[in-house]
Amino acid sequence: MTRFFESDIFYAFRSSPVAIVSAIVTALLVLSAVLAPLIAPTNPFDPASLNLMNGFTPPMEPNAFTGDSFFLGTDDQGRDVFSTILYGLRISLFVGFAAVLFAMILGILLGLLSGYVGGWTETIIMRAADVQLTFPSILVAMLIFGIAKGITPVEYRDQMAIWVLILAIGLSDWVQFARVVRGATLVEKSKDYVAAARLIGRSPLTIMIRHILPNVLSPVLVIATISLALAIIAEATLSFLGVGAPPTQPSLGTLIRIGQGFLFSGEWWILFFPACTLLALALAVNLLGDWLRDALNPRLR
Amino acid sequence: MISVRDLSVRFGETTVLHSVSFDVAKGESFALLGESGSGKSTILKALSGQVTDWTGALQIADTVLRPGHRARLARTVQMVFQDPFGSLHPRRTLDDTLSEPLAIHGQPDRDKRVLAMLDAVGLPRRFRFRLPHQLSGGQRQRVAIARALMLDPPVLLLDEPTSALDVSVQAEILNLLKSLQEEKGLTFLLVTHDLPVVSFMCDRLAILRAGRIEEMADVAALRAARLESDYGQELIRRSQHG
Repeated sequence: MTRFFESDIFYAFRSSPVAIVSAIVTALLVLSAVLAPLIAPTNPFDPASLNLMNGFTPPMEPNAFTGDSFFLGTDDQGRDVFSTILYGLRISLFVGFAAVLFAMILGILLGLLSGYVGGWTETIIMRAADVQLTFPSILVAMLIFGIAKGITPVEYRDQMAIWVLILAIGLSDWVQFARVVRGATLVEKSKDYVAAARLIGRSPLTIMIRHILPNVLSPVLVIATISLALAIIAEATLSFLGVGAPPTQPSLGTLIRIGQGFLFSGEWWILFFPACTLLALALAVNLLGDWLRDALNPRLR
Repeated sequence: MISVRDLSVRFGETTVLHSVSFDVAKGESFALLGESGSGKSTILKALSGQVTDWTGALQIADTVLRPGHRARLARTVQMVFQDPFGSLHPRRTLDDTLSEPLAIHGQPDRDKRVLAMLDAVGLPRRFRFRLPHQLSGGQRQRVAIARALMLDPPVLLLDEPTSALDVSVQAEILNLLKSLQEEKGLTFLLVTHDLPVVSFMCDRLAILRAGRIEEMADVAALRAARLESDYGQELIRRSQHG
């Protein structure tokens, strides 16, 4: 632990206000998402706790009929917007993290394999990656989402939706991990410590995992952070388009879609606050990723 | 101990070695001398199984190598590389690096043997849990030598083991290699372009040029500056003036 506090990375972090602020914002958002059931005044998923008479209450004003007051107002069904944002944040973050983790594992494995083994394996994997790159990732995600929706029975669709989202975003995102890992693997493979490992009788699989993998991970960390912001936005986009998280488990994107319907009738808060939260989250994570990339790049010091 | 017969290696269209033959006796130090691109490192790669696309006949100790196959050579031959900054896994402690060969080959007493090897190559025992970047170039090269010797191979291939080091450190490493050789009866095959290293370390030498052996000689001939081939004489001249 002391090694971490004395490291260059921590020093670079301490001397960058942008990094500190975005780290604090990210931490706050992640924390409030994790602690949502404790912080949120109401549970927006529990229909019994909702009062339709509370619908369309503006922020910080008492409701005309019930006299209840809500910090960020309520939507058409009387759900507290603040609570739905907290729960929505939870789903957005979960989908984002899980999708990046999935993309990362897939990309690292395929990248290591194509870089180390070479030959036909490399050709097939990298051509597949090229083909993948010619599609916009949102189309790939919609395609996977559509297929998955077609093959799951109706009664499971809402439960499956989250996992299908993770799969769809993950599968459209592995390419950059694979490319970076392959490049770094090609560099590491030619170093003498890998030759030495071969000479003492290490198997190719062990060399890949124990010798090469630890030395190609730092660029992966940077891509993972930037991908996290992209994955959160991709999830919001899909949900906004109506192919993502279902209304029973609204993510930030779903909330924005719901709020969008009321924008022109004056109930601005239903759209505005979820949109601000998404903006803050994506911006903070992105800035953090940018900073990490610069901090880990010795040429920019 | 090492027998090389008509070894030819091609990389695609280019032939890097044209039927090279030589023998190294047990306990001998044999130098392959030549400029970069002369094919000297390729011979080491073929002998250590890093290049498998060759023709001819190779034998190390009792193991006959076959083209296209990776023989199980780990306990017969090990190698020390040129650049001690690239030849150690940057994120592993010396202890990990040194005990790895023992672990792979299921050998007992790892603890004791790692410590004994640190003593043998002249590294303080307290370095055991350090990482490579905490060591100097010469210390790292000692680690690389220690790793190569962990499995007690009778043959050591040395690929310019001192050319990346400072002059003062070069002498230390050469002395270390020489005393280890006497102690353990090792056979050395040394690749270098450095004539003084050859005359200090080796018993015999072969001069390579463009993939062919130009001349084989005893080290006495080199010390007396009486190499027979014109190219050998040229190397001596260049080394004296350079």
